[in-house]
Amino acid sequence: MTSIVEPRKAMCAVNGIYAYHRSAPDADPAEAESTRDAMQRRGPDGCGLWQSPDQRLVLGHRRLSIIDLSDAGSQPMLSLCGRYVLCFNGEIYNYRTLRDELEAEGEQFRSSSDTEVLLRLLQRYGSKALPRLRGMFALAFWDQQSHELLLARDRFGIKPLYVADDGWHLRFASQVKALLNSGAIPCEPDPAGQAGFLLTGSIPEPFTLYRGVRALPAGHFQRCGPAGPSAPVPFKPAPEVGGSAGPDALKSALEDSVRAHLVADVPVGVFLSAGIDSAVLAALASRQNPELEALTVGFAEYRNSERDEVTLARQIAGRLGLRHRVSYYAKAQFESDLPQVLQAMDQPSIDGLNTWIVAGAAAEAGWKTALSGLGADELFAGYPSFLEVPRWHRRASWAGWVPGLGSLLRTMLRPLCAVLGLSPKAAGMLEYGRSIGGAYLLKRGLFMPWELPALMGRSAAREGLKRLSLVRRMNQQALLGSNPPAAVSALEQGFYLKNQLLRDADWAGMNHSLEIRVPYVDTTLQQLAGGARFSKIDLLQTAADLLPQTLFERPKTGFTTPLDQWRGHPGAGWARHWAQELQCRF
Amino acid sequence: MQVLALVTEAFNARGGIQAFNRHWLMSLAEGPASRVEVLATGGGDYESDRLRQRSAAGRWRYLAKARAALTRQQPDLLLCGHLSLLPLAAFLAGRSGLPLWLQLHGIEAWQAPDSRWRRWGLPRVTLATAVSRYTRRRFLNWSGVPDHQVRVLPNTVAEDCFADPATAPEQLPGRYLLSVGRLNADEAYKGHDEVIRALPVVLQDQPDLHYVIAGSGTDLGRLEHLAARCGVAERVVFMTRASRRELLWLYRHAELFVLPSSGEGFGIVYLEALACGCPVLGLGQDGSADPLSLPGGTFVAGEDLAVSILSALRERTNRPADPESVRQRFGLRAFRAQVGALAAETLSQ
Repeated sequence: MTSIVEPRKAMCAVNGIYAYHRSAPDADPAEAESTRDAMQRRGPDGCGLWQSPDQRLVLGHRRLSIIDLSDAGSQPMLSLCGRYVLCFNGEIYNYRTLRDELEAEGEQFRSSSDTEVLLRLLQRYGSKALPRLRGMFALAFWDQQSHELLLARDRFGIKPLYVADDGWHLRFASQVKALLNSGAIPCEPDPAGQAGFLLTGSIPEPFTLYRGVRALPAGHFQRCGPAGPSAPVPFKPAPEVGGSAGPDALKSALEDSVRAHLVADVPVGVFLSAGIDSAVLAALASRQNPELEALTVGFAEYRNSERDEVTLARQIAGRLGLRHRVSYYAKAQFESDLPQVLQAMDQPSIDGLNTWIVAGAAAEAGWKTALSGLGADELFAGYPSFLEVPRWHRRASWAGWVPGLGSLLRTMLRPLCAVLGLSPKAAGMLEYGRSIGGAYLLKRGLFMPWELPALMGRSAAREGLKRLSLVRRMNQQALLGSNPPAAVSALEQGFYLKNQLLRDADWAGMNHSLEIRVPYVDTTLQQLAGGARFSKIDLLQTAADLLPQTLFERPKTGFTTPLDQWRGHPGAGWARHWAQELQCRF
Repeated sequence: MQVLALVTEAFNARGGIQAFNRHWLMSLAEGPASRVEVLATGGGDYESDRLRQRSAAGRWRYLAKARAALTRQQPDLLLCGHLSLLPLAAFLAGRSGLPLWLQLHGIEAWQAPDSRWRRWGLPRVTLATAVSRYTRRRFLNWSGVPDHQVRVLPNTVAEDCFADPATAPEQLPGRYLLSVGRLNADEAYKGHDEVIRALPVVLQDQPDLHYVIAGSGTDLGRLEHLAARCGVAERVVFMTRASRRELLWLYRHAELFVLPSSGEGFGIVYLEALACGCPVLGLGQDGSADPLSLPGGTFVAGEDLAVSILSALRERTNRPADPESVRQRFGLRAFRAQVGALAAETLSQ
């Protein structure tokens, strides 16, 4: 397995309590410790707790050592002058470059950890340093002189950070359940979070299932001083490269991202399915480390069907000369694991089981870090939504000219859809298809807004839908794309990838103390290939000489589990049944 | 910084909201504001250094005076002292582009007003402050104002609680429980009934105890009748005309301040009791959770109030009130610092 040695990085969990209000009692270290230790599986290799001399702030940290297993990078980390303290969860892939730049500006380092580089960078540039970071992170940075806390989260939302402000204390943690563990935050349900889950299968940030807890939005920072927390502010990423970047530039950017994501002091493996994304990833990674190990999970229910990933994955691994592990997972195992899955699932999600299973197999194999192909479909227009959403929108946009027509038709067609056994979405085609965000909701939606009163009660549904304003949010997100495919790419990255896939990868991986790295979700790669500028064929071409021809011919299936069969709801409606089951259990 | 404040009442008026408004406005006048112009619906005129109150009765007169004050003074910040004045304040803030600071006192902010007109001004609010975390949470649940724009600005405690001389009242009870509050029939949530009903059980264990109720109002007769029905009429002392100095004496000599109220926006009386060194017992299911979190504060456990009272009496030496802690966390100095920080932040937006 690969081991490109660079020092001192750690995957982990962060938390803290800041008693910012003058009337608030001091931050309670016992409470912070309890929150921190509720996240033990995220960081079983060590922990730290730091309280400010005036007792108003406590920072907690749990550590999963990936690189440098010594205590040199222990957190929370204090600056030499003692004024600043940093606590962060994640990886900064360009920390060596940043360190060189800081040294050129006169900074001297006492260790070689990326934590110290980040600390010095924030100390020198404050929030202006955030756009310069390449990687995944959630951080808390404290200035003892100004009594100001800075919270920030990476651009894509790979690492989570949840915040609870009760008017006296600002609490934050990497997991919602850990925040609630202290008992200091009321568990009052948030109808907006519930509605979001039923509509999309995951909870759109900044909402959570609870009114008192909010996600710090991806790519944002938030300050909190003695007057209280200010509004989350987006930090602007570097602009995307305009015009015509060619295939060579793409290949080079992909290789660069893979190289950055391979840095570790422990074995790094790759999740390998029968799809293009993981195959290209494995090919590019194996070029940089021929000893790379791959892992594929198979299911008995899929044997000899087009969903069987194992056969082709074996061919790919063989062609690349990878050591290949295959792990089979069965229904009986799922039934015994289900309570643990539900406990590990921080927020309800209909789609994290596959990641949980493969992460479990990786942990069993002794891995601490794995590369995953998540994010490629969003970047390289791999989903059917890239064709269907713009088409639906084109066909239904005229309905916007007649106010009320869409909702009238939906009301009339609803019973007909039920009688004909059509998807409830058909009834809403004109009402929602008239905007790109609405068309995206139709495509990705689990339940439709008009179905929610029956599922969560009329008044809760009304309040939840109003506060959620999902179509409005989706339309805003779509504006980030300059053409229809780019708009869908922005929607897939801003909703499905961020709220579901990356969040699932976090809780599922961390539950097995496994760091899942996502080279396709990378700021540098995004600058070059963002806006659906390249296709899956372009992606495949970057490693075509290394991969078997059969990969080019296989239809896209995605990495799925036979959950529909395990839960007794085979067919297209399984996700709706699974969502209702999760709704009851959370 | 010039400030225009639209309030119900502030100076020359009695009551909790009025006291809060006075502290709020004086903190601005003695702090970051160079001039504070107050327009009240009652209380008459008042003037002090850098602060002037004018009052106007009637909706149209109030509106006309508010517009005139806005034109004349050209303030930098507009304060709205009550949710009922928000439509007018939002209208003026909208026309002038001024930042708008809304103060929430309690129960009026717990539920969405029926009238859409009353909710209309909410999107114009730059900053809302609630007297307690509970009031803040209830307001957030319905208002749609983003979390970070709603902060807590709690009631503060008057300095006389800490040091001023107290006068013993004429009816001098021995050991006693104390409740302080209005006795209005429409404010039966205060919980005097529950204490009177619990008294027979408490007296079995503490036979020399009395229960002093300081306050007056329309519910007095009913409570007297209830005490008689429960057989504790001789043990319940109603002090309907206690002066401020007598009140301070009562706080300072009570065994326990008890008020199992369920409708407090904040509960200034808990704070006063604690500032006077008296331990307090309350439900803590409303705004009172904030003062009850201070040393000496106890929450009613379970449903049996008598058990909680007896337990709090036994524990009073182990859990003493700490006036210094009250001063540090809720004293005028902390209040002024909070007002100054919030004003600076509101102006910077």
